[in-house]
Amino acid sequence: MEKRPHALLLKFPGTNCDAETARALREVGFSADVLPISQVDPSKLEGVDLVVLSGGFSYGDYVMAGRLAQLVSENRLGDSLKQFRDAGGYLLGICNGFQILTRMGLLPEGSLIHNDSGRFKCNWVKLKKGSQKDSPFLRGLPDEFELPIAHAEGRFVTKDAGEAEALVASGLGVLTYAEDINGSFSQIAGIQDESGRVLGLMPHPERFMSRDHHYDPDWKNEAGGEHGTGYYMFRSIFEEISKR
Amino acid sequence: MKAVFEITDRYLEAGDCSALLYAPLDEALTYRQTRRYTLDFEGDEGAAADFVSKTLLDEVGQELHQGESAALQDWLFAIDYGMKPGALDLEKEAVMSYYHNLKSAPIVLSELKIEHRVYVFGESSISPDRFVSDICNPAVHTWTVIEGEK
Amino acid sequence: MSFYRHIPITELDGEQLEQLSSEMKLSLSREDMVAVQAIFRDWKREPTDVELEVIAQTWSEHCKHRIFGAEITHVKDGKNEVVSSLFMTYIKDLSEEIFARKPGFVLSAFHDNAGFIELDDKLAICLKVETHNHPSAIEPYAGANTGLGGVIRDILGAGKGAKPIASLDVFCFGAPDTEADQIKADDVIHPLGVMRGVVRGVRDYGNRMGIPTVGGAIQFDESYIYNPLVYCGTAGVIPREYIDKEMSAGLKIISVGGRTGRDGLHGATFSSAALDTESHEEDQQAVQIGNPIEEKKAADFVLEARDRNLIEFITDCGAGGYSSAAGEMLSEVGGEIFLDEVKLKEPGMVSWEIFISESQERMVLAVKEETLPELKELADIYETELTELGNSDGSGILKVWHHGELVCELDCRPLHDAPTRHLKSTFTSPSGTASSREVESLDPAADLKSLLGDFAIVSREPVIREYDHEVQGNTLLKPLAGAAGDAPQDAAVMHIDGSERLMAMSQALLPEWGKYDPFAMGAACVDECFRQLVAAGANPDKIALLDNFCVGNPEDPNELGELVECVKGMAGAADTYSAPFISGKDSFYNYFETDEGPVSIPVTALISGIGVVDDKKHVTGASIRHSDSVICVIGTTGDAMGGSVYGRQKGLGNKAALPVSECGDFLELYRAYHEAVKNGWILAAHDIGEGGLAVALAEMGFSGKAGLDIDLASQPTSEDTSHTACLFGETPGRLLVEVATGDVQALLESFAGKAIAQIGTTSKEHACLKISFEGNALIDENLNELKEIWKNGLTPYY
Repeated sequence: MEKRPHALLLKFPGTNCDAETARALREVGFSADVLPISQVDPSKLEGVDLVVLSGGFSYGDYVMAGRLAQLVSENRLGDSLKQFRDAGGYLLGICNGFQILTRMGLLPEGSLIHNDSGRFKCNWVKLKKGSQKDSPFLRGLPDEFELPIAHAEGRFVTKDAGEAEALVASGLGVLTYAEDINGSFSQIAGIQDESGRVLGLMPHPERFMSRDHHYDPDWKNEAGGEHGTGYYMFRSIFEEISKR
Repeated sequence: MKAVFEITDRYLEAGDCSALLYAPLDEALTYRQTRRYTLDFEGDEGAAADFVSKTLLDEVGQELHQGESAALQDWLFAIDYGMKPGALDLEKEAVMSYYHNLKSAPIVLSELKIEHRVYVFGESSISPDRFVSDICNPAVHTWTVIEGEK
Repeated sequence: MSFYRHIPITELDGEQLEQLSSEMKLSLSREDMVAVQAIFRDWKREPTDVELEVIAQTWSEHCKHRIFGAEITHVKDGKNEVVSSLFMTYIKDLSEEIFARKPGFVLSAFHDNAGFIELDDKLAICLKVETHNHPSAIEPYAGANTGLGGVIRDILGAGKGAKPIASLDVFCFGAPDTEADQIKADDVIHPLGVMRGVVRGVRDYGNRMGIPTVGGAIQFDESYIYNPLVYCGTAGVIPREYIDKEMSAGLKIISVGGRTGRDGLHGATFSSAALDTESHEEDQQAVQIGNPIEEKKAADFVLEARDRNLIEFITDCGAGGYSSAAGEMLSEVGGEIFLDEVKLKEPGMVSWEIFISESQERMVLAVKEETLPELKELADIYETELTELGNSDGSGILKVWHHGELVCELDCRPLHDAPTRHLKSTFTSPSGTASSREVESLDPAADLKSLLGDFAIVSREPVIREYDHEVQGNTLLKPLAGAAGDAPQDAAVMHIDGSERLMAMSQALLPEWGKYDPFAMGAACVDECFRQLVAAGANPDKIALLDNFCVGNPEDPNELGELVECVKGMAGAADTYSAPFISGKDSFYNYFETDEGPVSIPVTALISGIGVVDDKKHVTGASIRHSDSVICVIGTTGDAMGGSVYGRQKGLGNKAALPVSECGDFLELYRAYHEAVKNGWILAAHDIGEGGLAVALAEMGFSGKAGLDIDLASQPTSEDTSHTACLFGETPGRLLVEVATGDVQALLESFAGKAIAQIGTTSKEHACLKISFEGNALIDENLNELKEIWKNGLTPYY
């Protein structure tokens, strides 16, 4: 049997969406392992196709979301995640994972700061795909869809607002909120890097794998599929990696 | 050696003070919050500033001000509050734990004090006491009130 | 040599013993102290301070629930009866009788941290609810966050470690718009400050632990200004083979998680005393703040260790700290604890401080010695601290060593039974008979708006959105749903990994009822909780309940009388429903000495429950699904309006009687309803609760998918029920259901002879709520406008 694409989920103290994210990855066909950060060193990236930083509160998000996880990861891994990407590896950061990837400099410069409401927000939001429709993570998704969010620090900002606009214009701002929900510049909800192999997003695709996950019992997938939208996102990256 | 750093949020607009209090205010006062870190350390002051920038500062979303003086101007009064001795300061614990696990630390950090500073802006003769009683709890906090210069 | 001392007690007289108890803050009564003295006279020695502290913890109200175990002489309407232990009579014995009616359903109850019920042949589920009232009054954020942290540890320590999968949080506060001069004591935190702090405390602990907060309730009443109530509950799941645990000799006792400090000394005995202004000043040394990441690391460790079958016994470190945990593990089998091994937050702690400190985030395990290396490796992997505390030895004696000296050597057998307390209670049955016509609604539309804007009814959305209610990816019926994801639901339903079955979870409390008729409140809370679970799709034969009581001063016979009546009402309903209690807790001394005298809370019972939903297809939400379907009401509406929100708004007070819960009749309806759910006839169902039928209809319509056109003429009512009671009365036992037109006939036939009626349809006029009686419109309102009132009720405050 052919080797299945393999995903490695890095788990920090306080990471708490690892189990359902691994479940989602397995559901679309990945083999997936969760590895606590205390066990991580560069050799653990061998044989890995996709590194996933899942949601939660790494180190409590004290100081700021993702900062201590970034520093600890850099101490443990040096620049091996960059090398992993340059060698063709894929990286996905969801929620806290997006915050960590941003702080690590694996995504275009920006920061995720406190929502402009000053509050944690857990609800479902409408999202739009950016101009770069063939992002390997989003290929299988319709142009507009819903996912749940749950974050206090999800407001994407750049050093000046123009940089965020440029991200959307260039297509690297691959996901935007249909409405302003947290004060993000250009309503950015997710971005990818120049290589297209690194994606960070605030919404939680792993929480919308089946249609039962939707708040409306009568929800129908406009695209006609039987699954929730998150399924097609994980499936997209699975297919991208499988066809290599 | 002691060094004080104040970190301000670049994109956080001043908020309505009523949000800090348990009953609406008659006056139109606004506030901004910052964090002040006081480091007690041995080593190079530049290395301390570098440690603070790398660990405590978000270069995109925040600005760093070094020194005792206030980072913001033209305020009515300000309240510095932090966790009192014996009360768990989760941010401090997290930072110190990270620091202790560093293989080669740039400075020898013996004490880190973290305070939140609330600046209140506007024209009023209101006593800061009302703010203190709604923001601080003697069960966990210590605080000082600083009168503005204007 | 000052880390422990002997306290001479064998020669003291009663007064001196009482004084000693008060000086040492032991919270032991004179009777208790005399009993302790007798034990040590028998042993012909003086106790050490460690031993006295251990006994004080063991016998504290918090640990032993002595009021629930007391012999109570209850005088009701002049007639005497003796209740020998409320707990045994109305909770344990009753529940064990119910267990016997449905063998195999309850898998464990009353001896572990939480009771377990069967989910399927592989998995079991459990629920535990605790209160953290006094700490939350003093520091709301920290009180609530350690409250939730504590109940999560209860679940981690249930069986050989259950996985926490969902939380519920129920609060009682003063109104958020309380004027400062309404607060008649110094240093009392304004209700809005309490609410903000408590919600944020729950948010920051629950969200960081990655446990979805899916259920809850908030009640507002001025008596809670001084005594806010904070109930925190967590449900868990466990593979059935890990439910049973047993201590034996020759095991190692280990602790994992946080370090031990002076924080949290005397929490167990503190919660057994009333609050006053001084306690706000005095206890300012003792406020603990939770560290959720510490607990998350310990939880990851425990669940991994359990899956590797490395745990023989586990319990949490809650009230009483190591002394309670070690007591639970070693009181029968005996063993040794070495305090020198304990990792401390600060130097210089003396023996008793280390042993009873309630520092957060610690779990205590008994493990086989040969598994220690693997456990230590696991602790390193999850970056949590593991400490070897001691061992079990089969001696039957609890020995505690410190600096090479035996600081405690207790044979725990004489301590199992604390002296029984003897209490008096009185109760006078309510005599209200006023008809609802005395508060007739002259403008039903205006009254409906006023109810929708009442703090008892307004949307809790601002609070709910602060909680991550979807982490773990299993929340199928969410606290807010409907077409816009913001309409209220009756229960939460969770998918459980590895099972085809699901868990429903709900809760009910009706303190307004308790002010007038605590018996009616007890029964109605059980009914409401049970009904909400059934409404959401749970099998009525697979529901288990928890009872959590908060009471003012139990030494006041009137207040205790209310509790006795409440417990009786609750037990009767649970008996009829065959819904056993599998766990419970009580909190006393929720009263406060203000400048104008003592203020007690009304007796406040929280009934929470879990139920098994047999099939995903049975999950039923409370929001209208589409137009052109039929609305039916199940159950009979009576005229009694005592305790209702409408009655409160109209100043009805104690003039009217409260509705009676005819649980036998209700159960018939629920069973028939559940059959309808299984047949796929029910599109949506909503319980009729606070605010009555009109509010329930509006809430169903808040889904935004259709309007409602209702006529109440055919609604089943008891004789003499007024229009007002039809609209706003809160008779229990009623459900509103939405049914597809084609299924109505079958539904009505299946209910033949039972109280059900078709009362209207869902209309294409989406924004229209029309309620008529024989064609005359009582209410004809725009649903969007009604929703605005309801949805924004809390937003100015939170």
